Amino acid sequence: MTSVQRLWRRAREYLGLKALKCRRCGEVIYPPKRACPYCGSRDLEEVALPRRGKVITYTVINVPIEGFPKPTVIAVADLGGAKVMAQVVEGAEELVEGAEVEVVLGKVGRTVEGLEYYMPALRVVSDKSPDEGDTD
Amino acid sequence: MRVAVVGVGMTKVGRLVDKSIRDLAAEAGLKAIEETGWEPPEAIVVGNMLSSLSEQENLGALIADYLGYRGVPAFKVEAACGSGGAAIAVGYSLVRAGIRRVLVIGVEKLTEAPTPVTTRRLAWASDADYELVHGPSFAGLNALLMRHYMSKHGVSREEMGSWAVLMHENGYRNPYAHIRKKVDLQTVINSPVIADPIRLFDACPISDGAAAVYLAAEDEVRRLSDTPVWVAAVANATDAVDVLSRKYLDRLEAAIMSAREAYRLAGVGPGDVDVAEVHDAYSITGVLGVEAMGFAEIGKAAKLVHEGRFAPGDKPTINPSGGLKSRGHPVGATGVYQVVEVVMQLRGDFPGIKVAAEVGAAQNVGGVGSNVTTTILRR
Ligand SMILES: [Zn+2]
Repeated sequence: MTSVQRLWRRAREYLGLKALKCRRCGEVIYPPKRACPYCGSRDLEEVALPRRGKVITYTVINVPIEGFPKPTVIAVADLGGAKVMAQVVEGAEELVEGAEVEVVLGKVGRTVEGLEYYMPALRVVSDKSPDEGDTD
Repeated sequence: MRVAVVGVGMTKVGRLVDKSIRDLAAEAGLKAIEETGWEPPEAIVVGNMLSSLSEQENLGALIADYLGYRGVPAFKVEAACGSGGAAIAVGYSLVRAGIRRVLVIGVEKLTEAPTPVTTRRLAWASDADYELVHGPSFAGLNALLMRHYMSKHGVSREEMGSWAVLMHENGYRNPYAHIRKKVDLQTVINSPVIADPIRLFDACPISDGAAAVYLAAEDEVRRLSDTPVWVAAVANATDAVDVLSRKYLDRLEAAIMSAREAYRLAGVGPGDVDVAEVHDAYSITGVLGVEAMGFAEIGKAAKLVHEGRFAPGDKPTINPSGGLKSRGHPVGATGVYQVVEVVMQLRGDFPGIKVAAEVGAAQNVGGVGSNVTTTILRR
């Protein structure tokens, strides 16, 4: 279980979808590292990932770990060339590989102190969605 | 300096209510030492991931003293589910560095805590800040790879399910195995979903157990054993702990690197291996492990298993022990079990399915492929 202290430490990074971009090879690096894992360069700049992307893979976890919802739906989405893991908190019934998703704030779990916490999470954007485009 | 295995020991794998960490370590460790004629080791390396479940860290000193070797240098090596292989790598390096007799013990006691606690701790092998914070179980992380692999390579549920059928067929004859029960394909593919698409029979059980390997420098070998098995290579490689920053989700790069380096050091290739123990924590892990070892092209291993390859009689025979699925997965001990099993195959005294073998390999995977040790052994 995470803690208030651990979430606070990365709050700016989590909420701003911060990643790094390698100035030498151009790859997006997520999660951040101290060197580019693809070319070794340390010449890196911070970038914000786009809030829309596509699902690469996902799982519906029927035996979740303590502190998380049952089931826990987890997807890996391609957001601007970065693979980002997040819970799917809306539209999970329409989840397929290749589905379009957007980042929303979702209540994902409980901290060790027993507090509920919010993280960037995913909403599946269906063709039927009426409110497409209301976020950047 | 060549290095040989001059003694091995292991406990039965299972939910071993009447045995603690020290009991398990002693049973396996003393058996290995007994095989050398009770030669005291000069150092002890312990592979373990979650002894904290027993409220017990500091395993090196605890086990050295309990076994009767107070004063001997001893410490624990941790690399998640790859801890056993990592301990073998460290023990091998110690012998190569001039310590002539090293006992490597892998030990794990996962049933000391309630299952939900153990499940949560096993997920600690993932990236806490970028994965675990979102809530995936360890099965969930592997499920992400399994779905991607099946869809990218057009692998059917039946083809993936054949892995578990083969493992249970093999493990049925292993007296040390945790789950000695044959299963058919329909049972596997209709078992309860744990983390879609991973079902119950795609997953290994939660096990206790210990295994030990006594390593000796070349000039000690003849004195200590009439049936030494030579360590041709040990190679460890790492990948990102997170699966997110990896280029591909349909392969385990660290397993590929580790296997390649082990083959290079041993001067053999995949076609020379008679018997292999690969790390099938989940069906997908086993399939990716077989491909990383070069026994199948990427995307092909599950199909080959479904067609009947890698069963006893084939070269290589894979997981005659029953693998993690049937033998079980006492996580920090698993990598040492694999080496013990391959050593016994090469000596001809494995008590289950026997494979006539000159060259054997063991592949131990930590995390979702982030810390991998490949060991190659020969007669
Ligand atoms: Zn780069």
